[in-house]
Amino acid sequence: MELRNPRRAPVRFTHVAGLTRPQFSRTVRLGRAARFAWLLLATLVLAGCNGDSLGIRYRAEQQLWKGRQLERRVGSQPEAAGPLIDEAIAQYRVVLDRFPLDAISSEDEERGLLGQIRGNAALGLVRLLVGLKEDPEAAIATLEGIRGDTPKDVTVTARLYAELLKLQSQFGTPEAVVELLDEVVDRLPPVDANGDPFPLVLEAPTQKAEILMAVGRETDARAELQVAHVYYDDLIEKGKGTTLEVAALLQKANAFVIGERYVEADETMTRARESKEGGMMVPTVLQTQANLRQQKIGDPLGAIRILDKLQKEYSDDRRAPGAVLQAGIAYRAAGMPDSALVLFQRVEELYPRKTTFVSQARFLMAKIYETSGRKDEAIRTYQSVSTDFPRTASGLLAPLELASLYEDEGNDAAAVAVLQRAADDFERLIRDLASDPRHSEIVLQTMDYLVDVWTRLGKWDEAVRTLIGLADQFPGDRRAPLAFVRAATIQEERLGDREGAIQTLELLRSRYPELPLSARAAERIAELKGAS
Amino acid sequence: MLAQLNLVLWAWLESLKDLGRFRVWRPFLFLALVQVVVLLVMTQFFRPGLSSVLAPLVEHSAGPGAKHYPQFYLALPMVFSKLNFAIDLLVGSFALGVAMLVVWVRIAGTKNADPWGLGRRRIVALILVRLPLLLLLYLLAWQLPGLLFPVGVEVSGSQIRLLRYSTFVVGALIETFFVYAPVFLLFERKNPLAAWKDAVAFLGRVPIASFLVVAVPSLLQLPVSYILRRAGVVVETLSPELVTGLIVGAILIFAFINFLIVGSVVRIYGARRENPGGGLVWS
Repeated sequence: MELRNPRRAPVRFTHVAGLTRPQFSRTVRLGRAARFAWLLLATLVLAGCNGDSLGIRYRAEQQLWKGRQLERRVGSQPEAAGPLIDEAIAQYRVVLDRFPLDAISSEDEERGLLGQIRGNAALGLVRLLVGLKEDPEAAIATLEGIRGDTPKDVTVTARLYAELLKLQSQFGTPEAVVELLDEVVDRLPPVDANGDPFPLVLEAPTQKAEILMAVGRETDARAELQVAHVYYDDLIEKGKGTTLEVAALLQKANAFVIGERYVEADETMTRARESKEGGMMVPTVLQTQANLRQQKIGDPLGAIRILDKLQKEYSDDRRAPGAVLQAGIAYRAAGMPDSALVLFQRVEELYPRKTTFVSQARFLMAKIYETSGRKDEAIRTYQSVSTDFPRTASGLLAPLELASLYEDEGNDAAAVAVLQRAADDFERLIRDLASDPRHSEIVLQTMDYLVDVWTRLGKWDEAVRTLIGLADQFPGDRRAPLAFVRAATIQEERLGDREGAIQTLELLRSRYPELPLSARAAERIAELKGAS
Repeated sequence: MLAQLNLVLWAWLESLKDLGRFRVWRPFLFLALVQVVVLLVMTQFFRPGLSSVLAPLVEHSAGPGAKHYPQFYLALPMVFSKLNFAIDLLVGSFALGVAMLVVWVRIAGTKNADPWGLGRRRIVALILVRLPLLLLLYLLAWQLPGLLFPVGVEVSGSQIRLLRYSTFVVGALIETFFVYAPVFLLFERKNPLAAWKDAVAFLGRVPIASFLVVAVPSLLQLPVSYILRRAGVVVETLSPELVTGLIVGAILIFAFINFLIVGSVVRIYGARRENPGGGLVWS
């Protein structure tokens, strides 16, 4: 009742609230302060409601980060990768679905950043879809949907197109790739923000011509090459004195090569390396030019001049040892073995530590000695290649060549001895290196040569054992299915072991069911079974 | 010397006895609460309504890159420590003044005292008396490194460490010079100028004890700074948002540091001043 008394109620209220009078007055004052704070907050909210572009961009970045972190975890926790992959895909999809580009007006600079974020999310999604989910169609759809999102960010757009082109080349039709290449040239500038040429854009016109040629549309390809020449001439003119000029000249040379106009290609390459900004590219261009002269123009002496320039002017370049070797090969092809020998010797003098080149040079010297009738020198040189460079391709091949040389001389005993020693050496080498994945290529190569050795020695069981071993040890290598076929052929033809051949072919079918070779194997199995 | 060390130990032990008293903690927690609220609001700088004010603030404090995720969290310790100077001046001056009064009320056993009310009445003077200290600390923390090592000058790791530790020592010395000023301002009803004068004169009587009560608890700052400097590792390996948690932890540690400093300073003042608290008028 007392509370209803208007005069006493405030006093009673302070008592009810458990406050003393000074505390109550403080509360009232705090209330005023709180009202002021709310007013200030409301003003801020109203002021900030003008646009949420920063918030949209920031939250998109947050989502992208989550996706990237999950993707990183997929790599580091393979045992939990399954659910993590789905989670990462979901996070990337959220970026694309929940933060559309239209959420930010076109004048706002945050829009460009959002495009960038969406582009990166799409690339992350594609990595997961293609690499781990094996779903290229979804990846292509993702990239197709987003490729127009980043018109101002040329780098991200170029990455999106590059990825899309890669996928379309692998899984799409040639027409789709040609269409995409057209789009690349239309949408992207030939240089990035720093003025560096975009290989993706510059290569597009010649790539188009190549694809059209590959699908048999010769006339369209020639027309495309004409268009490409006009495009490159324009870029050469526009990019005078810049790296764009060099890149465009090289692409023009490439267009000439595709159109089989090799001499013009050679001239254009000379222009490219002599241009102002050509400096850094010169060794690469010289190498290409030498190959062109040697292989397409049929001018080995012209190639030698170029290679000589490359070795002398860029002696520290990684291509220099190869240039001397290649010049020697060119002399040999031009019928000048003595000049070739001089250059092969020079490889060893100039680059004694480059074993791959030195072993190859010495092997080729042995070949020249052999063909010019200097058998003793040939034998000594083959032996030295085998002894000094046992782990190189030339070192593995040398004993086989030496055995052939002895066989040609009619010295079969020496040939057998060489092959037997080679077999022992190869087996030891395989044993020593088999456990080290860094040497898998040399092990594979050695096994391949060992099969040749066993075959020449007539040890067919050993040859089959080595072939099956190769296929077992390197199931992912392209030589593995062929090893089964070779083994089955030896079993059938040399050992008369049809059952063994059938088993080997069955093994091939079970391991590589998708290969056309497996279909052939099935037919052969049926034939073998029918014959027995 | 020995007497001063004895005084410091006594002040610490007495202050630690108040650890369980919520009434003593309240001003420190009030300051910590304001800091946490500001920190949490800062982490929402991108929200509409806040972005118009906070985004330029973030950009000004740490550059345009700080407006991006997760770079924002890498910059957050720096952005917050700059902003904290303002909080420390406006709220910290008041809260620490109130804390000194609360500790005095507890020591003296005064009844019907209203430390919060007195603190509020003298808030402007409290801000003024603390302003030079905060300005000097700001210059020491944010301007001096730039003057010593201008942009583009190569700085070695040992130079950075030397700067870091000397900044800590100089910072503690500066704080020691000003630590008694609010005490004289509140307890003896002095104006800011007179409070500084008396504070320095009082410091002359107990210099070692005063430096120790400021510097030793402040040593706790070093591991906190060490962790916050590694925000990048937290962002990369754990979660960017965890940096906020680290800063909240740092705020609580700073509340404890202040708790020890204020408790000890008031006790040293009470022990060494003739007629301590003679000017206190609560109403």
